[in-house]
Amino acid sequence: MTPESQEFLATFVSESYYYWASVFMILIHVGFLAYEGGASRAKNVLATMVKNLLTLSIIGLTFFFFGWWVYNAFPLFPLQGGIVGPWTDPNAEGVVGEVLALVQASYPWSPALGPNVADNLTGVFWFAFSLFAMTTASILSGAVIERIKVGAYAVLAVVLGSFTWVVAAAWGWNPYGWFLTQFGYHDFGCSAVLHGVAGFFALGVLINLGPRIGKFDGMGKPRAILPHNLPLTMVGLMLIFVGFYAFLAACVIFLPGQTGEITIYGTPMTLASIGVNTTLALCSGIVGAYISSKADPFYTISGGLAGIISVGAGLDLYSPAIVILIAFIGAYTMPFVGNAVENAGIDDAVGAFAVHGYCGVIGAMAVGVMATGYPQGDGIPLTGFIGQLVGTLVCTILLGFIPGYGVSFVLKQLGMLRISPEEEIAGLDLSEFSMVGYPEYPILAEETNGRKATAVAVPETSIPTM
Amino acid sequence: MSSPFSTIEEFNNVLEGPTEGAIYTFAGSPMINNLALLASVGIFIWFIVKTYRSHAKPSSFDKSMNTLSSFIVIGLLSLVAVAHRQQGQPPAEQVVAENSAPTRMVSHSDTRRLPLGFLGAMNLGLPTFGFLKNRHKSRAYRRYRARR
Repeated sequence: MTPESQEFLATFVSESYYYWASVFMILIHVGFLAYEGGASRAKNVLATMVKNLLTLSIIGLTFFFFGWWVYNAFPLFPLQGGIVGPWTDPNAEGVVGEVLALVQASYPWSPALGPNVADNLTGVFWFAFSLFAMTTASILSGAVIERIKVGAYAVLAVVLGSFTWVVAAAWGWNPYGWFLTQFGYHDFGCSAVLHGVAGFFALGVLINLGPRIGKFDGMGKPRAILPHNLPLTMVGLMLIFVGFYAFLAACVIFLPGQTGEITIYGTPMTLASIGVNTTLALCSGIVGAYISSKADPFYTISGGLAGIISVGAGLDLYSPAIVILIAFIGAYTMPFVGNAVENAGIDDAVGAFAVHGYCGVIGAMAVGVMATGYPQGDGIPLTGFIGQLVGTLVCTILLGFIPGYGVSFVLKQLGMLRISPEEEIAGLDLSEFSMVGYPEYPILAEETNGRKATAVAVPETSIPTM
Repeated sequence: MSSPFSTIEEFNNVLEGPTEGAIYTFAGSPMINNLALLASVGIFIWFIVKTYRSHAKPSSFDKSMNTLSSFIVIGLLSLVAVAHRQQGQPPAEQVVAENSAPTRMVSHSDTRRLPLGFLGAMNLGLPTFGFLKNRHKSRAYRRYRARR
């Protein structure tokens, strides 16, 4: 084997690794589709699933138009410099010069993103990142099912999936980001950077969106709106678990010329430890949620995800026994948070805030308690409670809750946020597609003249609801 | 501090350090990880115990005779209604003609079928039907066995 072919082999290993990890990440979206479709009522199943499909398109395109640039352009802003872009001096040196090289490869017109044998890796990193972004938007998608306008969801998904979380990633999941360089922030699996941002963004949206009709009685007491297909929901979450292994594997950095695997922060790690710790977190999370929710199937299956998110930030550092404890605590307390949100009059259809927002905070802050004192580079503070707290607050409040609340408030004032009560009662499948997800259900309605009956396009009373 | 390292050089050259490659939390003080392991085992045992406890509350049912009596009355009324309908049915030829019409739609809400729904409600027809079905099945089974 010639030196040139050896060099190319190293490139190909990296290229293939991220390519296939990204392909498996698509399973997260298969899972979200099944999970949310099952969690909706039968009259909304098609609209819910189509919304998930549209998420891929909305985020895939906008992440190409500007999201990838945001990730590369924002790490220094505002504490270490400005936003890097076409206006930046092309002869800049130092850190700005290094960031500028990445920014120039991230414009949608960049030669690095097209077929280009001189660059095998920029495109595959874009691929992985775009799937991270789609995952973020899908978290919002589940929370708002059955009453949001598709256009409003599209606007909110763009803001969340292609901007605010990307800014969070630029600051907190980037070797040049100021969370790291100024505060020693560590968030390997994006607990706060992705889940925290998305969960709190969803909370802000839900406050303006309001509950589904019938969710609360006249006294404000919550009623259960049961999933129309809980088995489908459970299969969906199992698929999400599979996708999460790929997601976390894609958080490992392995580039040609490296002598070991590293995190995005440049610290050593192993892929094997991700396999062990993710599995233990999944198992422990399910156990925790099973016990605390008194075997509620919905919370129990969500507990697996809660466990993984609760340890995500320090997955590369924790010992296995510590992983079991943190994942258990996160998942055990998650149902209480979900119920508290509901008792506060907020209708979070899939518990997105409890699983992603709350457990995202637990995950990021757990590093500040259980993985303190880790060095991440010369001149960079050690990992610690304050650094994690700053990063977590910025992610959840500044980049999560405030944009979610603000954008949804504007949409609400313009009458562009929520569908009409008539459409909601009839079901989104009928109002959006003029069809139902389960046409074999009894859909014959009587004609007004009595004995003869005909198959009709159905009024709301014939649609089975739960 | 849960980190076994104090500088980035130690972290990067961990293979040559005292932990011999281990970078996980409390690698320098195994007692903490052992305690965490014991706690994990305790959680698991708690979980096993919890699985034996029934969490679901059985739905309470009406032990009085009110509901059952209502079903019996409704069922008897429906039988009377069936008998009444049979008396007023059209001639057999007309029924055949109606049934053979290819475009005829069947409605669940057809009023002629209403009393049959009440039969199901009081569970009157099912035992008889099940008995007939079983008898039919056992006859077929006997015939099948005889052929063999």
